[in-house]
Amino acid sequence: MRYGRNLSISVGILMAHRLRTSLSVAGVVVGVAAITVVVSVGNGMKADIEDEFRAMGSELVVVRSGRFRSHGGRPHQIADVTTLTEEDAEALQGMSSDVKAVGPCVSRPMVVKNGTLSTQSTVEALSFAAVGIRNLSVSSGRLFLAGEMGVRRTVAVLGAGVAENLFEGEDPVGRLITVGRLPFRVIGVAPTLGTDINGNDQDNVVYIPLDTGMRRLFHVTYLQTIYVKGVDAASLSRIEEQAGRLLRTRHKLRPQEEDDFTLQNQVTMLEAALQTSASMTRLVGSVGAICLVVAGIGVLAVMLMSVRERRGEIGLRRAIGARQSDILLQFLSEAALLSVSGGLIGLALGALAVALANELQWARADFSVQAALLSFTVSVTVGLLFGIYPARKAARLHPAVALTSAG
Amino acid sequence: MIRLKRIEKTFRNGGVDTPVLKGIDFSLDEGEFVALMGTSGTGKSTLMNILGCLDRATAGQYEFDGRDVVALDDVELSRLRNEKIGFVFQQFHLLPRSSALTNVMLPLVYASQYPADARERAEQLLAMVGLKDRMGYLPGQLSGGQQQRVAIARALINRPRLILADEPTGNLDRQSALDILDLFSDLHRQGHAVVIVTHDQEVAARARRVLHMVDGRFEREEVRP
Repeated sequence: MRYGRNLSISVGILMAHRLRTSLSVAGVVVGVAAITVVVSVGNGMKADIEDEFRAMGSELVVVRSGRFRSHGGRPHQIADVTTLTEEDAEALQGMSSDVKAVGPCVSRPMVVKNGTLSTQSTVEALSFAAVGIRNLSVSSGRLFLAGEMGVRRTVAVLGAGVAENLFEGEDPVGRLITVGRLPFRVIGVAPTLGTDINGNDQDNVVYIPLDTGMRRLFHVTYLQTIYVKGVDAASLSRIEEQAGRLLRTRHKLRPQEEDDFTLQNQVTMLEAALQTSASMTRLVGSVGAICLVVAGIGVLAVMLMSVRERRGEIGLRRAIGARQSDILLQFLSEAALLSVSGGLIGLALGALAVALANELQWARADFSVQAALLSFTVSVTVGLLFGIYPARKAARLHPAVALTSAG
Repeated sequence: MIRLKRIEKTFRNGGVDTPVLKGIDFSLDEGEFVALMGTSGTGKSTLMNILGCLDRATAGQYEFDGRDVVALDDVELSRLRNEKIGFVFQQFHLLPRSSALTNVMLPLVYASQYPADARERAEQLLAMVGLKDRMGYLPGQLSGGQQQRVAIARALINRPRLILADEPTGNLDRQSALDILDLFSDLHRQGHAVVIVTHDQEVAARARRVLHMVDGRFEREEVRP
């Protein structure tokens, strides 16, 4: 009760020094808003990555021909190799009971035409099993039938981007397109997928049956990619190891020779991708944290000024019966008032920015209540921490000195 | 009510000791009206701070209502100031952003129990000092004399038995000063003990007992019937 009455006086004093108060609060506002936004965008990024891997199917080991190096987090093939074959895929299928399905693929960039309209896109030839493993789906028409595979049929499923480029809003299903020099009938259109985490456009793709691609279009005998689906996530590391050994034997590699293929475990890739996004979040989050420390110094400066200016008031309060602890508490609650109000404004601004980012599709941001509460708590703590020194200074002011030194 | 014995106060500044009070003996009875006189620098304000428990003596004894003040800690001293002493200062020391009424009620914030009739009491006191129509005014909207009357009402809110006034008319014009002095005379008649520190002969003339200070000591004492 005694402090409640005092607090309303404190509010009046802080309100009276509007400019000074808002300057000191500004730091807290920026810090809290920054942390809220950064953590929300970080959450959105994480959810995006997880969604993508889930769409691909996470119990996956991807075998790619040739060696890959990671440049800036993206895989780059450093040599084209022709040793990965359909027989390898069959061998992987029978390798162990951990393997649930095997899906071979090969792809080439090609020009795709519909009459006078043409577009450069990735033509991906894949087996029936690969369609299932990749979780491909259609928004109109249908996917390949089992009977269409292995008989070199010229049917195609278009990515949403290709469909838009070649048919400009018309329904492509049932129409003919030309891939290279070969006519294909469109049987389905995939839904819009956007870019994958490696930055590849997943909509600028034409899917065709594997044997059609290999023998009628690309004229190759080798594969680029084999998707190996495990029975569960735990089986992946075993599959990775066994597949490595099997392929080395089949490709007759001597012990000192390097692999002519690359194995990618989806689970470890997911972890790596999540780690990247988490470290980004931490980086920007720590900038927010520095903001909060700066904000604390702002609170410190304002409180010190305030104590200096209000020596007369402090002396008077002491004379009329305020204990040292009363003065301490008064100035601490003023510091808390500054940081709490700054924190609330920062939270509101942060939530607004998150809503705006989603609305305008700048970034996917999932507002995190925990992060918001955390940054709010931190800001209040910082305010209190930096309020302690000035408050102690005020409390220890000698009452007689305070009364006479004030004008 | 108050008994000081051989009070000494020495200020230490940068290793140099400056003795300000050099053995003061003083006693004050219930309801007395005393003026402490002297030119500036004679230590009368220092003595006032010690009397008001705002400062501690370097040596000597101080009893207030039979209690040994020297032995009290910050909490006990604060409580004593709150309950038994009302202060009036030359610079008024009102909170500039709070109304006259809020200023008068301020000491109750620190009282051990906040009285239920706080507001009525403050209003009564403001009416008594002649500010019935100015209760909601901010100090800046009041004249010097009116501000000092708010300060006197504030000094009285906890019904103290001792009023300590340090040059209460020092910042006021002549007419306001006379009004304020009349108020102190009224308080004395109502039974409060009043101690006024002043260098003004006219102010001191109101008191029954005048103590003249020179260089940290009482030089002479006048007592009027």
